Amino acid sequence: MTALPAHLHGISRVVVDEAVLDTPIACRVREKLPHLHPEILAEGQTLTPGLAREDILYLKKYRGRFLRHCPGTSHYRCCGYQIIHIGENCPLRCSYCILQAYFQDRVLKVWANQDDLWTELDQSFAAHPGRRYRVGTGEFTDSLVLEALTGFSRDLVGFLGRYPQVCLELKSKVVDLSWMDAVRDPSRVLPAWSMNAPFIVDQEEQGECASLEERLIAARTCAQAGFRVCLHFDPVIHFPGWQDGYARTVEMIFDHLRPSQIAYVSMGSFRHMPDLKRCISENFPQSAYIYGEFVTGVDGKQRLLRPLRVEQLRFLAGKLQNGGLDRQLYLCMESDEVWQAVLGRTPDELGGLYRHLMAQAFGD
Amino acid sequence: MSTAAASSPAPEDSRTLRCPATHIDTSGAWLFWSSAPTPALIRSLERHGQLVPVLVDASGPTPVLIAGAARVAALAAAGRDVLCLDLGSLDEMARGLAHMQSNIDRELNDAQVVAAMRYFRSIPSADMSPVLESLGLEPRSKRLRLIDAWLTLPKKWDLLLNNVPLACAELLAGFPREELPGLEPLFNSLSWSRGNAVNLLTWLRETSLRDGIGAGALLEDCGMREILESGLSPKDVMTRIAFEVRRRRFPRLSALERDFAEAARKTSAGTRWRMVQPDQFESGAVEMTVRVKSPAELRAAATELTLIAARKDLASLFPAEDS
Repeated sequence: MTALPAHLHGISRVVVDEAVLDTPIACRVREKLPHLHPEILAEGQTLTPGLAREDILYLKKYRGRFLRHCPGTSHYRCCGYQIIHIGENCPLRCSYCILQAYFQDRVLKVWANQDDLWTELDQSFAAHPGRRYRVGTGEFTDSLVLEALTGFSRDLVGFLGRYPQVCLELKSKVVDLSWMDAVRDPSRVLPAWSMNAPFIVDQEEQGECASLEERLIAARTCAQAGFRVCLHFDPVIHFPGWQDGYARTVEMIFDHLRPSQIAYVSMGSFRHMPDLKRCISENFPQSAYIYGEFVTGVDGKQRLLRPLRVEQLRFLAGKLQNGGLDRQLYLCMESDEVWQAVLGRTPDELGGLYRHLMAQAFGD
Repeated sequence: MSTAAASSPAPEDSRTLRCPATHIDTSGAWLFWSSAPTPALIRSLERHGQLVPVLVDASGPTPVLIAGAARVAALAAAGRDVLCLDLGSLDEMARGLAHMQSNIDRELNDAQVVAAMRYFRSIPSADMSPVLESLGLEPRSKRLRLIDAWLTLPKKWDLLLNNVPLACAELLAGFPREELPGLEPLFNSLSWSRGNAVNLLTWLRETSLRDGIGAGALLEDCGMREILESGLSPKDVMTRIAFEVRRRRFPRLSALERDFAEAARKTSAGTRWRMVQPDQFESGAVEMTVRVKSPAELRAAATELTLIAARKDLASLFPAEDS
């Protein structure tokens, strides 16, 4: 058995839908976790995780749509990318993570019926051969956190190699580059890592996330192999000393990467539904940033008071611009007014955010 | 004794007895709903005598009162004997249930429900189902959750339940025990509405967690002592305290609101226009309203609007643009 990364050591059970028992993913998981005898769920049976406090890996036959639009929000500018839904939940323990409000249990779901995924993607992409797609898997899970067990991203990049009109973003907080040699064209895969201030990474990204430096070293490895990478400052968190923290992270970025190696950088201020605040206060009682000056945004979410977040985003954008980034910068779920105040332009001036990011992703 | 109690089957060994009021032990913790005799009860006992016996457990050397404390007190004051119904030997649970059943037709307030629950929760391995049923509490209800949260507070807080809404129970229970005395002055003489109390305690707790300062110290910083001693009406005292605590919780927002209010007041002075900031500065918009009752008033309002639009200081209405 190959040694598994630390973030997978907490898996205590493996549950498999009978229908996916012989799929490549199920075989790999059996091989990687030989000490865990898989529990098999017959058709019609459902997993009841109870109050388990350890991670359960559930290889499931997924019956919904795999390719879907990102659940953006009204009133604010959404980046418009599409999700390839490969699973749900994450073993990492980031205090600010929305997944803890979405999923009340610790079941790590993987859609193991990849043949159905390939079929759906074939149909979708073939239906619009001239259309370009910017897709990602990091919406309901971390793109690479289970890669050492499932090899899902490696399969995915291999499959998408047939579709040069598709650009895939793999967004993560861990380092797993095992998928790299399966990529046919590095310009169509965007490895991406979450960035934050060192204090936030240390205090709020609990579990076994890679350190900032490890993420940036991995990003550099990708860049040296011909990939362009993406960085995501989301959520940007307001805490005492945030200026020094975010400035340090930007310094680290430019210690490892050249601006030309970065496809885009997102910046999104911490925002939340009331449910998430309750989860954070219960699960992470030391996380005091949730008691900042939040007000109800026009989409009903709690957002940092606009002048405070403009100040923060403008500071961060300024540092990134000083390092040589410009059109790669964008704001996640912000209004035109905030765009103007932070970046001095609106998405319309870039030709629309969707179109702009598509161009950035494809390196136009 | 109420009809509810009368309809309960009496234990087989129940019997009536008469004894001096001073001989009855009235110190039982199960007398959680006992109250002082009302003038009406005293008058009735004087005119008509004791028509209904009090409930006792007379299995020991001294009758132990189970229900009827007001009647015993009134008869004791009158120096008269008390007619008792002996329920026989009862354990703590049965005594509490009998006390509750004999009073169950009352309209119960939060303090009474809490008092009953505090008694029964203190009995090891008590079967709570008859208690919850009698009190009308659903086992997984929010109300029961609030009551159980309240029971984690020191018992003396029960006396404040008329001033503190039960809805605050979980918030209060979230404060470290040593900080609760610092909150008592807020509720000793001020009766807060549910919404105001929840907001106030939420702001206090969150500020306390964010700034690492105890709630009592925070209230002192906010000038609570001076406000309480200011001679303002209770309503004004509560408004002032809530304003100061909110300002501490949201310093930047409060400053923006203050500056906007001042700018709007200046800008619209002498006109019939009203200006408000509708969304806590999220959109940067200003809403202007006017109420007119005739074409003449409409024309006058339009003229006033033109004058407002010509002012040089309008930027102060749009602070977010400068941020």
